[in-house]
Amino acid sequence: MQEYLGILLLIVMAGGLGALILTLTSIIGPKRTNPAKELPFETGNLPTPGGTLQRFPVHFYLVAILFVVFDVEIAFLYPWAVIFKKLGVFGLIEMLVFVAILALGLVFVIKRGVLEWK
Amino acid sequence: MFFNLSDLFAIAPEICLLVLAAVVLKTELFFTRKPTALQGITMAGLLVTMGVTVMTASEFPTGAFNGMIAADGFTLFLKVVLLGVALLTTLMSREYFDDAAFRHGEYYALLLLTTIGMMTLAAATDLVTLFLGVETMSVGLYVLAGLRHDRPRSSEASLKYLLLGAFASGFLLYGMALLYGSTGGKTNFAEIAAAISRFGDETPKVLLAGVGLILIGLLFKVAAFPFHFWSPDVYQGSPTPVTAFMSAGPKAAAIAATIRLMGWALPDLAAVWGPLLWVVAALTMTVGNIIAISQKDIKRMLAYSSISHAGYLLLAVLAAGDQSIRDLAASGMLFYLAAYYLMNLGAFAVAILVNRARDNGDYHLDDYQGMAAQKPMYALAMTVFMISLAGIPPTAGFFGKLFVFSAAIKAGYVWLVAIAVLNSVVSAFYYLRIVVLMYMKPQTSPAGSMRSPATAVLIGFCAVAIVVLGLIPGGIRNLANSGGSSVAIPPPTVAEVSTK
Amino acid sequence: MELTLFALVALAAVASALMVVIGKNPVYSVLFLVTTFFCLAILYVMLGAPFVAALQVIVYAGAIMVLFLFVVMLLNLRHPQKWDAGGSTRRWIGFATAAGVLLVSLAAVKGAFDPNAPLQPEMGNAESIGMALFTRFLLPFEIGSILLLAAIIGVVTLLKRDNSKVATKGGEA
Repeated sequence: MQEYLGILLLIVMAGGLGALILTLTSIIGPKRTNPAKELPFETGNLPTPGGTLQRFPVHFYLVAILFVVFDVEIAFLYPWAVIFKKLGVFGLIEMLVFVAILALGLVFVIKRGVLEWK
Repeated sequence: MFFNLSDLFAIAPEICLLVLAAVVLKTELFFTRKPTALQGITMAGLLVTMGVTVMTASEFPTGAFNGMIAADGFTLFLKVVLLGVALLTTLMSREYFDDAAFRHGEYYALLLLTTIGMMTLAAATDLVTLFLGVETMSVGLYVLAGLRHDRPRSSEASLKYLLLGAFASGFLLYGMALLYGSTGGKTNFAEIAAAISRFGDETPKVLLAGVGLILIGLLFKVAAFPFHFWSPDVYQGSPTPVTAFMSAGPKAAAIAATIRLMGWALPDLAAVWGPLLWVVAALTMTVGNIIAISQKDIKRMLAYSSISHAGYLLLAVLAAGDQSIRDLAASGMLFYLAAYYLMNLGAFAVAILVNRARDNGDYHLDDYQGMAAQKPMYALAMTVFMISLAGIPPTAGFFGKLFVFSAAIKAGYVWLVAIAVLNSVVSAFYYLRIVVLMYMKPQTSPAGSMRSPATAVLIGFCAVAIVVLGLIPGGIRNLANSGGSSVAIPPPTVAEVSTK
Repeated sequence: MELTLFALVALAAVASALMVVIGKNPVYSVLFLVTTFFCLAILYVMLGAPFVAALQVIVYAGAIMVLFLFVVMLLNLRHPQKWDAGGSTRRWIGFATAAGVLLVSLAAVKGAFDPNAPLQPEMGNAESIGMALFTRFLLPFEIGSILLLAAIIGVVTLLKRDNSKVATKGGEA
């Protein structure tokens, strides 16, 4: 457990620094406000009418689920990379088969136009 | 050594199917979207795979891939049956999905990947492969159930199946975790059995809870009472070829996995799960049959009928708890599954044709009125399927029941078999009602064309096969026997072999 | 020290899990679920399984939660349908079932595992998991890719439909 102490320290320091800066600005900083300034900032455009609770097109979901699939692939790649040398050529073939099967899916996704945004 | 090249023989069918799925998918993407071409490729590929399966059949005394999967007669028989299910489903699919926007290649690819999942499940001798098989099969089925974008019922079926199926998978996984934890980190069936027998009479409660949860997960997949509620809705809403596929393939794979898990991993706990399964089996067949009587929709009726058949099949699982009967029970089950998929797929194919002729979207039983006068051959085939489903000789369904019931009697489940026989009598009522409708009632509405060559071929094949199996069951019976005897005794574990 | 940390993290996990169920705003529920996952990750670290903890954060707290958020966003939140639990009877049945499951699992787990069992530091790191995965479990590993492939094809088939009759000509690629 000892080796995680540093991480804990980092979390505490990072969080503390953020909190500190925010508190300081709200105390020290000058407050000059007008209605335009209070609007949510959306890259210079007028804010989305009706708030942020908009329905998203289903296309986002499609991309998100594909992201999950390839994220899981990464999760398999990581332990493989750690012991890559120990596994040798056999491990390479194993991973090639795995990636090739998923590449089938990737080609399918690209060719089917899932990643094109109309 | 953790890998031998010869292990690849054990998964040759799966490799073939994967390549085939890739070919179908890429053909559609890069070459042609012609449904006939895609169907042709799929069917040819499936036939080749069947050939490869039979030719590469080799006995692996300790299973393949470090005891992850079995390569024995039992698995071989199931793989051929599952390939048959996929082949017949493919045959009836092209004419059903006549929407021009429908992507046949993706459909066949999903069907093939689902079949890989079912094969893995049927061959699994390790909790990890068991779970992966269940999931690969289920993911495909969730999507297949929702393919009819134009029908809300189809989406409903898909969503219902997904939500309940995910829940069942959760139970399965939780149970496996408890089993893994309480046996000291074992996942291989035979190793689990060894670990459990070391406990003697003091079986930890966690282990029992784990077994219970695993049973819930598996019983959901075979649609046994009280985990059957999803099946009528899903069967009704899914595209009919998918329903046919679903009622035959996954059920066969899941029941095979159950028989192997119970027989190989948990034989010492038969006193615990035996009575439980006894009650489940009795209720499954009774509830399925009684509700089936009141159904007005043929897909729902066949859904309830398939629930009751799951109950009969659980008899084989129960009988297999007794090691001296296990070969008989397993071979009876194999024969039953071979007969069941023929009659069920055939019945669904007739349902597709009748529905096409009516073209009103539903599958009402009244559509069968007076069918014999207009379409005598189809009516005759449907009669064969119904008689076989009811278990009346001379059909394959009769021998399937006979073999399973006689194994169960040998194992001492006389009362349960009595319940099963009574149930068969009840089921004859609603199966034969369709025959009565076809032959004895006048036609009510004019029937449209039922021309559909591929589906007609399928119906003919199934009907003839059922009658042939019913008249001379010997050949398949022998194959089933050798398959059954191969699961009688679990193979030595990898650890045992390496210490020798 | 370790016990205090465990108690804190476990409490936080349970509390945020409760908030997931109780909360009325689904977006908050999802965010509380992230908290639960993080707490679980810390518990995995304490059990000596850093790799599992990392996966918990990357796959669950990262990817899966994004998916959950998208599902929430796909729903029409501005006109939330009144949550229908089917009356109080059904709610009580649900509650009783959950309580029953809890009691049974508590009874089953009680005394089953030795709380003083030594940590096995080799169990949960990337190296030992990789060693098992790529040797003994190599077949399940490859089947995993087939499962993922089925998921890819499935989701595209379900969600990416051809627009009505554009594709009738066939082979638009």
